[in-house]
Amino acid sequence: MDHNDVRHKLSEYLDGSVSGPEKAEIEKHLISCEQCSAALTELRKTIEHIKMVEEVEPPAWMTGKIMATVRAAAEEKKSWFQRMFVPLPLRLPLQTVAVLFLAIASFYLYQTMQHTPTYDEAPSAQFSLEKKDVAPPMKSPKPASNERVQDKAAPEPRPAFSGKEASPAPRDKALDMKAEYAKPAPPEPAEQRIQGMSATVLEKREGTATANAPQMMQEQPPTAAVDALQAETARESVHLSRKAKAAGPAVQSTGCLAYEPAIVELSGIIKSVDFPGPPKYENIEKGDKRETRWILILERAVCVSGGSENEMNTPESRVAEVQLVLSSEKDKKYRSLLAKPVTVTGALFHASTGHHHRPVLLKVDTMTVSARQTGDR
Amino acid sequence: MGNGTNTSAGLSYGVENSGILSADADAALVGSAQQGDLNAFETLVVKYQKRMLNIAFRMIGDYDEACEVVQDAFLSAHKNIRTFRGDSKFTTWLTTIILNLSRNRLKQVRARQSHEAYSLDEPIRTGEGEMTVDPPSKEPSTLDCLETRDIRAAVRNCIDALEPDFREVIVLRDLQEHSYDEIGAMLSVAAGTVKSRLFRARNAVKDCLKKTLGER
Repeated sequence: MDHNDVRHKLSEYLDGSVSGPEKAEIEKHLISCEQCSAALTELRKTIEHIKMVEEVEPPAWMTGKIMATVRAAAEEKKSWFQRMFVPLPLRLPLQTVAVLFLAIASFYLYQTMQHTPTYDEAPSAQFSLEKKDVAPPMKSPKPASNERVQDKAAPEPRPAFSGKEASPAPRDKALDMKAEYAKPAPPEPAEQRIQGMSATVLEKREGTATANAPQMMQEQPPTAAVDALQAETARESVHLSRKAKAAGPAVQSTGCLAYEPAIVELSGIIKSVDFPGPPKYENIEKGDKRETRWILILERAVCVSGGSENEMNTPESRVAEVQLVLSSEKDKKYRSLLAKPVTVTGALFHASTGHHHRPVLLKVDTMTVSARQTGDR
Repeated sequence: MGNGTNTSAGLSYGVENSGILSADADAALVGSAQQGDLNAFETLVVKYQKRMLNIAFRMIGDYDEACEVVQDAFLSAHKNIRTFRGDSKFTTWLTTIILNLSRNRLKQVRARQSHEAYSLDEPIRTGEGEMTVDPPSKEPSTLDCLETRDIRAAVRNCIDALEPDFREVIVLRDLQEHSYDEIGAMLSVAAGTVKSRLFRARNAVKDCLKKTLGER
């Protein structure tokens, strides 16, 4: 330890904060070094002088003033807290009203959240029932009173599924209120009621979803299979886009879709539905042949302009469901997409035979799982 | 290396043993205050207001300002008493509050003084330091009393002339007799930094006193 080290350690030495060996070394140095010894004396004197500085006394009022401020702050905090609790005679009715309000609000909120129409809950067959009241009747197709969503698990169709028997349940009224409250704003007023989705539709869809749950589980394709299907469809889309350009615009100047040969793209959910076929096209139970067809329940109702090339293609408004026409090959290929949100491309044409169960049909070119579905995975 | 708590050699500070008992008593009082017991908090105020006032006064150099800082510090301590977990001593926590508030107040005071007109009572800054205007007292005094008073005034001025970082360690170590570790905790610096600052601060005061008082 040299001279400078010792000088730097003197402060600690005086505080007794140096280690034993350091202390011994410093003391040994101090004996031989007068300068350091003098510095130590000066430093010691300085500390003594510093310690001579007198203490000041707090003013007599200090404690009182501090506590008055502290109490005021505590009272302020307390009174704020107490404001939350008004006197009992007023508190009970207020609390009762508040609890009732919360209970009712929670009930409606729960109902709304449970049945909010989402992309996965598009309008279903009930649309065709409502349509009877407001839209012109189909020319050829038979009434859809015996239509039945394919439901192998359910023992028999629920009343709400069949057209005329359907009547809104009490809960449905609430749902109608909700539908009105959450009404979207489509471009044409005629479509608003369709998009609002009636309560009976929800009832039907709820029943379908429950009954079909095991079936849908089986129908869920492996992710890789869906991806492969997507990739293949993407390749087809390139070819079809060229075809679509040649066919003309899919959307007319009126904002409605065009019939064939235009290639249109529609989004929605596919349901497999049993229809009564030949000979009477009325009732499967009474002997009519069962015709299983795919119906695309559109995400949003559309209108279709009249076709100039084929006079059978008459205009249709408020089209919420479209019957899909597929080759047997495509039927197999796209079966895994049943009950999934899909985007379908193809050419529209109007119903003209008893096998056509919706006013507008679509000859399917491609079918892909919608972006939302793939995004969710 | 030893730490500041080893006070057996050199200067002896008698606060260590009593400090342990005091810390236990403080913990009980703090616990009650945390439950909303204002009487317990008042006991703490009475117990520590003088110590806190002296720290604030030596830091700021103005009695009235120091009193305000102490009030603010206790109010702040009460407001945040629930956040005090007892990891350190109550006095350490309280001193940290006082030091923070004192630093802030010192800045305000200095800023205010720089904008205020010249006062006859203010220290006169010269090229070699500063001189304090010390009007003659009306009370009779002896020579000894005069010498002691001169030394105290000189020491006060020398401490006031230090930068806040050095003034803090002088106040906390030489006037309040805290250990190096406690000072380190209060200032959020290492004990080695405390030693280094203290060495420089004491030497600065020594040089200042030499200039002011000469060799005595």
